[in-house]
Amino acid sequence: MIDDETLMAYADGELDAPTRDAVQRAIADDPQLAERVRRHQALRGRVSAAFEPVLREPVPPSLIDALGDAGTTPGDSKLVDLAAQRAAKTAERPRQGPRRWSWPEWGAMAACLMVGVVAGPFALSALDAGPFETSAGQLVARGGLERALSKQPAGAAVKDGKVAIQLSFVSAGGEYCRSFALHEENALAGLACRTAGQWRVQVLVRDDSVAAAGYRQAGSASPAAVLRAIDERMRGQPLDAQAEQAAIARGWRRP
Amino acid sequence: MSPAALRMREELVALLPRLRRFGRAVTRHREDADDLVQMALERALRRAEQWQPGTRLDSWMFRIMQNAWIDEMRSRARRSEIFAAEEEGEHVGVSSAEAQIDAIAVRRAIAQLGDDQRVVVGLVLVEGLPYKEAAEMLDIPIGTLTSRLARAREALQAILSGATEVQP
Repeated sequence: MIDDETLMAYADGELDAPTRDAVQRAIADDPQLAERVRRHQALRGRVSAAFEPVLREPVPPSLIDALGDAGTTPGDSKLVDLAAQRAAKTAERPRQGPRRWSWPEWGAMAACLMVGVVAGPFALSALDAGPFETSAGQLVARGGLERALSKQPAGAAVKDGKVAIQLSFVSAGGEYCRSFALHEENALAGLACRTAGQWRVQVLVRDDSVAAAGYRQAGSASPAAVLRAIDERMRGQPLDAQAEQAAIARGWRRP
Repeated sequence: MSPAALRMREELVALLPRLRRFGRAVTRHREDADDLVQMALERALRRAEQWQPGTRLDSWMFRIMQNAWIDEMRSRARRSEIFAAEEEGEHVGVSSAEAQIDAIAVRRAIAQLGDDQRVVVGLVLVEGLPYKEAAEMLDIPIGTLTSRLARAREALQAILSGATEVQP
């Protein structure tokens, strides 16, 4: 007999291997147990999803002020903000006179993935063509990026030199997520998660290290902002090659 | 500033979004949550030397927030302040209407839980801490954490499936 706390711990991935195997066997024989596990996982997903948007809110300047001069993150890539772009389109920003953002504020914006700054020749509006499109206010992958996210194994030789997939994992919210790097007109790196049959872009960063080197290798490191986004979302370990193949075969629907 | 203190500050900046999220789960209110984060940041900076680089800064901060919140609740109780209810449909940028509605329902259900259960939900289900980390942070045995979490989930299921009254 398996009690509910054990089932819950199983659903949360908290059991040691022998207990986990025992629960797994019991579940295989008992659809009711399987249903209870599914309910635990579904609730966890809903709770996580209910608070996840807070991560994308701009951090109030007062909180950054409280940290003094620490907010700079030197060496970080220039970030391209999706949420701020949306906000700018839909809302007027009340302005109280001219104001310069201080470095701590930029640092914190980077931290909350309020990737806002567009420097140099790169403009966000250009993203609506090519590898991205907006759908219901959400940036989603399309074209070659969409195909690579759906079909290309992580770490494989970079197909036609355009898209590299670095890492696949399951998020705390139960979605499949994959980090990618693009080398078209601009070198971009980002993270996309699979929701409702779309690869939704969670963070997108201009990758100056690639611009400097002129190429990207499949195994090269992701920018700090992408790593942070991965770190914040990932549940457990990255998918291994086998799990990834299985996910590709299922069209990235969760088993 | 010492390199360790500087490093801590940098890591705190990166943690701000998660601290705000945890604050939202614990306090039920946006303003309270940000005030709580601010209070915790100030406390953390004052005792920066107590944090050991290499240990989890998130757990350390969650603990400071939890303690600061308990203090705040006590002083409010002394002042007999009444808690304002969370505004209906508070805007949080969720992408679809359906998701938005579900997010509101879930946040409201969590707001109905008792303090002990809410903080456990915040640590494990919202912030994704392993049971062991969450138990250590709260200074409770892991068995106590598991049973609190199980009861909290049961209560949430009941609230979300339409039951009107819940035993917290």
